[in-house]
Amino acid sequence: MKNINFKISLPSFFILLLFSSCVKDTKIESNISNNEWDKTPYIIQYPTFLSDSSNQVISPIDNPLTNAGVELGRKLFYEPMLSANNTQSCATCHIQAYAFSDTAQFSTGIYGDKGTRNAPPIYNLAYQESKPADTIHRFFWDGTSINLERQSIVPIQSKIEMAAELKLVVNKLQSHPVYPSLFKKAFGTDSIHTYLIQKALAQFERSVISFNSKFDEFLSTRNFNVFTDAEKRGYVLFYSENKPSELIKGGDCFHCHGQEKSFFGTDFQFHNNGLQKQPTDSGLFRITNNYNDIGKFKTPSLRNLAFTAPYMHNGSKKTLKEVIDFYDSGATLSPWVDPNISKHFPLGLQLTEEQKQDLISFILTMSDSSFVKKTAYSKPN
Amino acid sequence: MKKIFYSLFTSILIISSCGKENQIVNEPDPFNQLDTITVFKGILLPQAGKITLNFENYFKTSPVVYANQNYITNANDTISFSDLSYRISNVQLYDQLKLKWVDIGTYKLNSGGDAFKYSFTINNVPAGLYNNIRFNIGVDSLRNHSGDQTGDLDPALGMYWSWTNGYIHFRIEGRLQPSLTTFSIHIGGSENVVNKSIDLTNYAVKNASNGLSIGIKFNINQFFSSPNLYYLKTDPKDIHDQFVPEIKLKLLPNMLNMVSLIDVKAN
Repeated sequence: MKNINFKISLPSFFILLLFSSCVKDTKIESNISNNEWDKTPYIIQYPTFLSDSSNQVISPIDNPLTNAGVELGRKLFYEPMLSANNTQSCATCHIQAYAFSDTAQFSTGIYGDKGTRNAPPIYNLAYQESKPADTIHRFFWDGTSINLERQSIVPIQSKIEMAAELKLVVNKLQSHPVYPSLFKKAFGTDSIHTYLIQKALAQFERSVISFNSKFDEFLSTRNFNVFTDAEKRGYVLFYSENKPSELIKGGDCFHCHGQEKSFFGTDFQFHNNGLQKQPTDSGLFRITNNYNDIGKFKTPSLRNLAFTAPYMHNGSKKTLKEVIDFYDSGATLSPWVDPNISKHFPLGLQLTEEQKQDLISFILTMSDSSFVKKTAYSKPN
Repeated sequence: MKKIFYSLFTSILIISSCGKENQIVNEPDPFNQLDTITVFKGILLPQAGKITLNFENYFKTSPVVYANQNYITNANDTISFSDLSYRISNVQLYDQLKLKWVDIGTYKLNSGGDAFKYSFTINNVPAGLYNNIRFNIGVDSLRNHSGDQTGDLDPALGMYWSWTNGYIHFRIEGRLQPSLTTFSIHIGGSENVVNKSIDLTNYAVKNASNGLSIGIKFNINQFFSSPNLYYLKTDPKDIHDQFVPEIKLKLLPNMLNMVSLIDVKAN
């Protein structure tokens, strides 16, 4: 009996040994030590109307959201060492109180240079990556970057913004007393490289979402009575076609800023909105060299407009009233203006002043006042 | 009884051993067809081996040096150089037995080094009989705008346009006589990648234990001269945008022409 027991247990022991060594092999990834690598996933709390996975943030397979990665990205976002002279961080021009936009028409770089476009806000950016699936033009007003990893280093290097050399940024972070350990925690290595800075900043940007406005309450409850009477009238105008021949007044806003089933306030596409007859900034054309893209800019989300003035890619409209007046006027006409704008030229929408105020009232229901104070996105201690 | 147990044990051992990796036992092939080939054109690797690519930068027949050395182009411009940088990627060899291109290389950046010579070695080139090599000068559109920016693709190494999120494929800078004004031509953009194919059939080199080398000449005179004369006094002498028409009209055809084979030899 004893003998049999031995014979059975010896092979089992070897098999076990073999099996456990295989498992161990698959867990070791190159030279990265697991010691301090914290892969705990970062969990985003979504409202019920976004419970479908198709409406949730999708991260690249090689850069999943983790607590440590998002936290590192947040610290880097507020880190002045990312600029050449250590005076500006991303947050200098992307200020949380203004939904991570700037109140200036054009932001000022570290050497006093002004940009040529209005600093766009930061929220729900991950949807720009997943909703338009077949494009390489997603970030910046003119679609320079395909994803947030690529986007993240552009302002750092821009001569009129943070004007830094990436290798010097890497050196500064590498010789910092804290950063190497934070990279180790986030990515399993304390050897800092550009691509890890990109990954961390992208993770933080993907983590920034804003879905806690009155409009979101409506989307969750489908109770139209959350709106005031003016907001209700504005809602109807927003989602209505303007059909002068049938005497139907509408804002025609929804074509570009979200169909009724869309939650994002944008179609994620690029349009020439007729802001200038001869665009002084060629927009998407600069990137594609395609004649049809002249003066096209990315549709901004209409969420959080209460905080993001001034408006338009060039920050030329100081108030929402100015924006509505512009579209109401029929805009300008050129070969590049989007048909949903140019069809109103030259007569315009002919909205009454009350209708314009109603539209503004509704649009402002998309502003999320908890977002601009949310501590998870604010400067870390 | 003991034998049965042990044979059972061994078979379990084999079955259970790391199924994931699809392990195929590589027994040495007693008959390697490639080893029997004696008459061939191109390069023969009976077993997987390594190939070194040696890029040498010439102006006509003179090795390129930086700073004070003047060169006269066929367009009669007298110039000197301060920088010559380029990216080599997607190295492929054509296997004439299998009638297919084999990917052997990755993304390499030559920047800030020797003005004359740039080399890199590709290990583990598969066994085969190859009669053609091709590579990109530049970064293909897929990697130009997406994918990890690691290794030689790290933007911190330069040769990168932050404003388009794209790589610079080829960069040449220097001064133009007699006024010593600078010129700086940066070629980037997904549509401006040069794909060069080089015939190897004038050589017959069998891989040796130290691998073999392919010498490739960049004749910078051709960049300014052949087939299109490029006049630095009238053509754009500062190019920092992929859509400058002269890139397609003149410089890309010239870049194809500036590349030629020096030699193939066993190391």
